[in-house]
Amino acid sequence: MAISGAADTIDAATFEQILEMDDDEEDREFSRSIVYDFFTQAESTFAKMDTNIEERNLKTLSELGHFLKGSSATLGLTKVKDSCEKIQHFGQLKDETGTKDLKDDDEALDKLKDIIAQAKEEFEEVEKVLKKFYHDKS
Amino acid sequence: MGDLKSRLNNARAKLLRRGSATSTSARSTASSAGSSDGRRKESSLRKSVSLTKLPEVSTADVSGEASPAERLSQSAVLPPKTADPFGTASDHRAESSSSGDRHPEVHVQEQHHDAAADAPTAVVCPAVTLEAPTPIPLPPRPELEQVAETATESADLPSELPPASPSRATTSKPSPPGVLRRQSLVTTSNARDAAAGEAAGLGPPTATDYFSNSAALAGMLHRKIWVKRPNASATLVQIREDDLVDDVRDMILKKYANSLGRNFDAPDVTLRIFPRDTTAKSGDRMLGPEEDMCRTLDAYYPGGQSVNEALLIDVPKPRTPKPSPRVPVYYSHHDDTRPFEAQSEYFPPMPIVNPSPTALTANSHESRMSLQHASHSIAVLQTGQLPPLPSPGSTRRLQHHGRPKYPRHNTASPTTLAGAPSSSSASRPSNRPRHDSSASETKHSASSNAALPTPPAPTEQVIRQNSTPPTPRIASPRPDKRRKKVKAVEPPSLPSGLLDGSVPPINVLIVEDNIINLRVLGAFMQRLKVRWQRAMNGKEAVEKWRAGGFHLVLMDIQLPIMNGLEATKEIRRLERVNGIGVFSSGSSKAPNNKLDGGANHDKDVKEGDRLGDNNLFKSPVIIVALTASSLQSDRHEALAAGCNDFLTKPVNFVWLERKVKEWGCMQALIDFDGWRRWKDFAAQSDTTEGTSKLSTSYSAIAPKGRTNSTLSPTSANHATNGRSGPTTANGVSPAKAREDEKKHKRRSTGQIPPSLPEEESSHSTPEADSSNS
Repeated sequence: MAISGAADTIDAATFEQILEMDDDEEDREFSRSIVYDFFTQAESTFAKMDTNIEERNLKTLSELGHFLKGSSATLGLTKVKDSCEKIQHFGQLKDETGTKDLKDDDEALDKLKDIIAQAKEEFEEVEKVLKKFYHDKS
Repeated sequence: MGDLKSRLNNARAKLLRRGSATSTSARSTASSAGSSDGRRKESSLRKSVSLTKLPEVSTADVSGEASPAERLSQSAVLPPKTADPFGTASDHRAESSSSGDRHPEVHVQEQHHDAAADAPTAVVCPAVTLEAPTPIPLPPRPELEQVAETATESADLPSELPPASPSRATTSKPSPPGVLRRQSLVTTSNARDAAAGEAAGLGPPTATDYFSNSAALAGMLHRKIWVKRPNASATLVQIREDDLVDDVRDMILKKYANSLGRNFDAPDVTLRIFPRDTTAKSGDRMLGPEEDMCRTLDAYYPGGQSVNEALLIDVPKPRTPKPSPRVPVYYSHHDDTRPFEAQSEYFPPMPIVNPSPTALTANSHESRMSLQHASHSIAVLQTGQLPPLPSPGSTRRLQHHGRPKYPRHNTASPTTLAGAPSSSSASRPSNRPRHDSSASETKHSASSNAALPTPPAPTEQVIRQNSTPPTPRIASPRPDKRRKKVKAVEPPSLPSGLLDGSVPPINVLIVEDNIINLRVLGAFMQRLKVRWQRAMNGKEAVEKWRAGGFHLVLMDIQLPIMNGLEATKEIRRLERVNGIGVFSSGSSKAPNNKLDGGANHDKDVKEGDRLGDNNLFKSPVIIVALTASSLQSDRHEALAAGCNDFLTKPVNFVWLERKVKEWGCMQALIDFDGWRRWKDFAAQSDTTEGTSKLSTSYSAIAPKGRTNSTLSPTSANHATNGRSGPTTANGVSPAKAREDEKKHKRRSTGQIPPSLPEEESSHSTPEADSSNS
């Protein structure tokens, strides 16, 4: 069940255990719905992030990062997950590993803007791969 | 035969190619050559060990050779052709011929073969036989000059040889096998003389011997070989020409009827052969039981076996009360000049190594085995190779069969290996009960015991799981690690291994704010046929828990409104003030107050903290934290807050299933009545639904029923509760539940537990319903 072109963005083992819950390997109804729900969730979360960047709401941004981190981790979307973890840390005024403090909100927001953009790119990349995967299957 | 010949040529070509290698590498490569060809050959050759066949083969081969140089090297490998199945010959010879300092013996041998190939004019047999009767032991190895001297005598040998052995009469040329064969003939009749003659290294006695022996050869083909016990005097054992080492052991036991025959069986006995060429880098070798005795001897001692070259009889450690490893005293055997009387004890004095019983852990077995094989240490010194350590048991035997038989050095014969552990265990004092035999077992259990870091009562779980393979409880490792591990173990398809119906009838509360995670977890719970409900935040989790009936809470830590740790603490606090389970004993109230319907603690517990029906809270709920981070500190924090266990996200399903099983089994043990009801009902539903259950259960799980319902958090919430509500959490009577299930057989069989009349149906309260929806 290799997903072509996604070796570095998708953790195969984690994603496969979602796929294994599919009753039908042809239509993959369950995993497909999960994945497409995730697309919706990610898009709405990114939208919320954008508005919270405008409002300089760091705490909410951190929570949003954690939120998206959870679901991307469950699907094994490692790159998106890592970026979301950084969003979570920056929102807490920590550096990307969560160990050091950032000096002020501005620095955090700058970093957040960058990392959110990066997360979006990574999401779009994995979205393409996954959509291709499910289109191929159907 | 043509096929055989081609194979022989093949093998020889391989050996020839390696002629220039160093001795050690020659051995190893020879072993590979042997492994490829030797085994196949053995089967065919074993039958044709008869005298008539072999000469033909070898002579044909010899005649096929053209260039002298090639012939010379060929002679070095000739023995493998004749004494073929026995890797010893080829191995030893190839090695010695390639080693830098050629031993005289090798030269002699080569000359033999050359001569044989060149037929009538050559030195076929260096018949120094006139010296044969001399009883004085001569230097065991002939000098080259001797051979040269005897060249004249050999002129008449060609004429003698053909009549000597009827088989050879068919061949046009006297062949090298004749040289080898001759030795056995000698030893038949006049063992003592022959031995003396062989001590001279040039076995063949007078020509008359040939003639006198030809009769014996036509008959039984008996032969005597020298054997001796360590540091004891040698003795002759009569064997038959085609006896295998295994047969020889029988004969030895007959010979040593008292000292060995009473205590040992033939398979216990091993024979060790010492190459003449002590300068070569090859040590002694244990003979495998499948080797042909005579051919091995011929290969090792081309001129014949002298008394000093007696095979050494090894037996397992004497069955003295204390197991003492064999001591390499045998190696004094190398010291051939030592008088035989020096140590005629069968059990020579040896230092008694007394392993302390307490030190005998699982690996003490291996250490003991290696002690036994410490006797190979000299071989290690000589060869620079460590002999493989044998492992006990029958697997070894299997390995042996799969292994090339050819140039084995210093490996014990399989039967000894099988015998040694058993004998050692037999000789063990009784105060060390079966450590060896159960070595792997105890090791295994020890390791699985060690891997039980989670606190509560693992023993109960083990006891309870008699119907299922015990799942060793192991703390969830970091995600990447365990993913690999699980992938290695997990069968490709999830359902077969997981849905074995062994998951106990528990009710799980999944606390997770992310709908994606919730759906995945929920779907998996459905697969496990576990009832589950959801909570999107900590506050909701506490409320749902207060409704009662939950056995297990999967608690995400970072949650909105009230995080998982706070919710856990709140649940624990409520359990405490309501005197549930173990916490009741710590409180000032009587431990059994919950049986009083809460009457006792009415005055103590604030109205808002009071829980509902105490039958729903038989024990503290198990809370398994789902932590997104793998930080140890987070785990400690979770445990400190009152969680029983933790899983790292992304949750691995195999681990999750284990957690559900083990904690659920614990809870089922506590709530035994409920479990029994569930069992009864499960049995009933099994009979009513028959075989359709399995097929329908798969189709009934999460995806289909769920996809449309969980698109938004709110709708999913309703859907979930709606699904489990009518059949489980609401106060439906058992009968109705069953009816309901039959009606929606296809859908509800997937969730057998939900439709159970267990606690919910009988105990659910309106409060529970309202809190669920």
